[in-house]
Amino acid sequence: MLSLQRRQYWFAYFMIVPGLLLMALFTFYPIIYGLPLAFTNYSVVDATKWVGLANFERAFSDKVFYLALKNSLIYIIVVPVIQLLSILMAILVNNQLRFVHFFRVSYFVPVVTSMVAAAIAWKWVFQGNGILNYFLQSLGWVEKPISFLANPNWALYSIMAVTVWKGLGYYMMIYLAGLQSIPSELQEAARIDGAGRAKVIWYVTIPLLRPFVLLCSLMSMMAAVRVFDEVYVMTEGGPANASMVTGVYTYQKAFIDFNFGYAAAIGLIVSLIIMVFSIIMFKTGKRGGVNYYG
Amino acid sequence: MKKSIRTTALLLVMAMFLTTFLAACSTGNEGGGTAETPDTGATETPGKDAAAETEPPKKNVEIDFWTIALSPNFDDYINGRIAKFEEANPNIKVKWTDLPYNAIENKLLTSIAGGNAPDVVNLNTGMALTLAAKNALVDLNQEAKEEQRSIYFENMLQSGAIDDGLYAFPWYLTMSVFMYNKQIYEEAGLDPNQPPKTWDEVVQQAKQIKQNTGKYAFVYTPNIMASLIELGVPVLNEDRTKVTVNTPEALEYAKWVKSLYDEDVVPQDGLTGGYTYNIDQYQAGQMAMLITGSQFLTRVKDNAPDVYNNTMVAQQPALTENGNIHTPLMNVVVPKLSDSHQESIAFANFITNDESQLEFAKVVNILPSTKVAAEDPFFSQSGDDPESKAKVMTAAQLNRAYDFTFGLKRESDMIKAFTDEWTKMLLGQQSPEDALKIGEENMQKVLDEINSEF
Repeated sequence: MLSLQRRQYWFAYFMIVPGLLLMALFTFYPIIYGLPLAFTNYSVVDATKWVGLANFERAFSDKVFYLALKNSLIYIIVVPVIQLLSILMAILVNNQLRFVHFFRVSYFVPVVTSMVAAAIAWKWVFQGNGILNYFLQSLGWVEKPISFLANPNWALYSIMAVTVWKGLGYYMMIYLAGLQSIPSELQEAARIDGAGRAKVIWYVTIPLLRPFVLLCSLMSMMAAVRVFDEVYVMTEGGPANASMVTGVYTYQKAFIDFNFGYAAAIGLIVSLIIMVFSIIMFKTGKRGGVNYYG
Repeated sequence: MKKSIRTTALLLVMAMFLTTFLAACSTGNEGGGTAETPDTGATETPGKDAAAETEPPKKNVEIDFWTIALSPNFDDYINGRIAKFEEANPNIKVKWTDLPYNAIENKLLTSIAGGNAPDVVNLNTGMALTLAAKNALVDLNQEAKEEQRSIYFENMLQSGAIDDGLYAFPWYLTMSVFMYNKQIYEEAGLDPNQPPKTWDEVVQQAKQIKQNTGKYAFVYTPNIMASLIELGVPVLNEDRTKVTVNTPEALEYAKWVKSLYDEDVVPQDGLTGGYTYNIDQYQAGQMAMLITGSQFLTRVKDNAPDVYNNTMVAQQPALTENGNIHTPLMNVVVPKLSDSHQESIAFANFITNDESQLEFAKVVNILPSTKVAAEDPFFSQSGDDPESKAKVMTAAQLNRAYDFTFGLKRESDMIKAFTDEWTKMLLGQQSPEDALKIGEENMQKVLDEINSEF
């Protein structure tokens, strides 16, 4: 006769199994399969040879790969921007506003929109004769229209803006759930002690949201390093690799040049970088949350 | 207690990982092996003409035929041809699968890797030669008969050749025409009955259009390598070991293209938007000229009837007077993995023969790659609509058409090493001299890598 506790554990693991199996098949298996590929010249149709570290040597002497890596790291700038904005949005829609449901839904719309469709629409916005240039020119801020996506100084940042726009609603929902789990007494107490609105947010709300911030930043950081869709649709990494990121570069190497070995090596390097970042974030982000103060 | 349960679960997970890992390793080895197995089909099928003729016809052969983006628009045509072929060859059944343009490459590679390739596949030249360089396609010089090869235009047939091998039968093609918007021409004070004949005239008219209407006239999106070769730049020596792109002709051309951007004749958006951007803008009535395959006229007609009604066509201005004209070509190939080479070659030849192509051209705006079909009066009679005018104009240039490719493994890598520098030049980040010098060095570096891999 199993104890109740023990039965509950078995039940819990039992419930995890279907998901785990799917993950094993579609996530872990490809990952593990990909590992040895990085040490071969696998190209599907040719004979596969073991090439040792040649793919890694090639990566570290490949200027475009460095550029892609640099751009992917620059892309991480979207993380604090998204987090801050979505926390503020969550605080906003956590109020008892009129039409609050309407706002919540509106902010969430970009999340459910297909990235490809959205990116195509944004491409039009950023065009030389697009709506953004129309506004900038009407306001007299620019004289000559800027082709945002064809300008090497603007391309990457323009795409980053789209990533921010797309991600806000998603993280807002998570923060909203977080906010609703925070007992309002703590904020009230701070207000009674004379803290202004900004101070309450900065010193009370955000520290209490810390576990959520950690989770969201981690997810957002991983998504930023792996970004693909918006870059691929909007510029394909151009002009002249100005917006090339590791995701698109890996794709090009694998599915356009059919150099799967090299692509796997790049993928491996990028995952190691993501892992290092994740560990750093875990180590530094542990403090905070309701329990910590409680 | 809790701990022991957790340990058990953890062990289970690890065991699962281990088995997956082992599975991965074992399939990994098989994956490596598949590359050498494509020949299984080849060993069963005789490799020479003579041998092929002596072999009795096989019974119940099923041919898997893959095409690019032809269904549902041309279902009747393709199914009709298949029925005709099956009627003449009762021992063969053809199973047709249509795939989107972007999917066919991946799907084909995966199926070859899985040891289960289709028998006849529709591919563009680049992809066909990539696969040929990887030894995945049947050499038609060895396995097809002379009478099967001789029906095509020589230029086009040679587009699918590497060294002594021939890996594709050319299928249909569409050549570019110069389409222009009559209304914008009139607004700009230009005579729509005087379309440009040379690139200098294109630029002149474009400047006038920009000045008088504020609209850009065109996006310059040529295949740079093909343009250089058409202008007489050697690019690669005969044994494909040395790159030469830094020549006076190339410099003159580079300076000319750069001036289009510097003088704001063409929009910078074209650098990332490419020809899709040109088509979108043309359809929106925001651009005056469109130099592209005549099949796009149908798209303009569907998407923007107003613009279509104002569209006129003229012959595309070429870089040289009588030289070859780079034209993307559709081909059919037979993968080595196919288990019925002769039957597949016969079908590949049938679907691209004079009769099939002529019938196809009557259904849709394409040009045939076969000599007899091209001589049909259908290609010299024009109506009043832009499509049929385009057809007659382009058909007259058929003997100059070829599909540019080096037929090198990782060719796109090498070309990109050059075009990246070219784009930097257009963005004003480096001079034309530097772009050609660095571009040439970069190309040479990739070429050396490619050659050392063999």
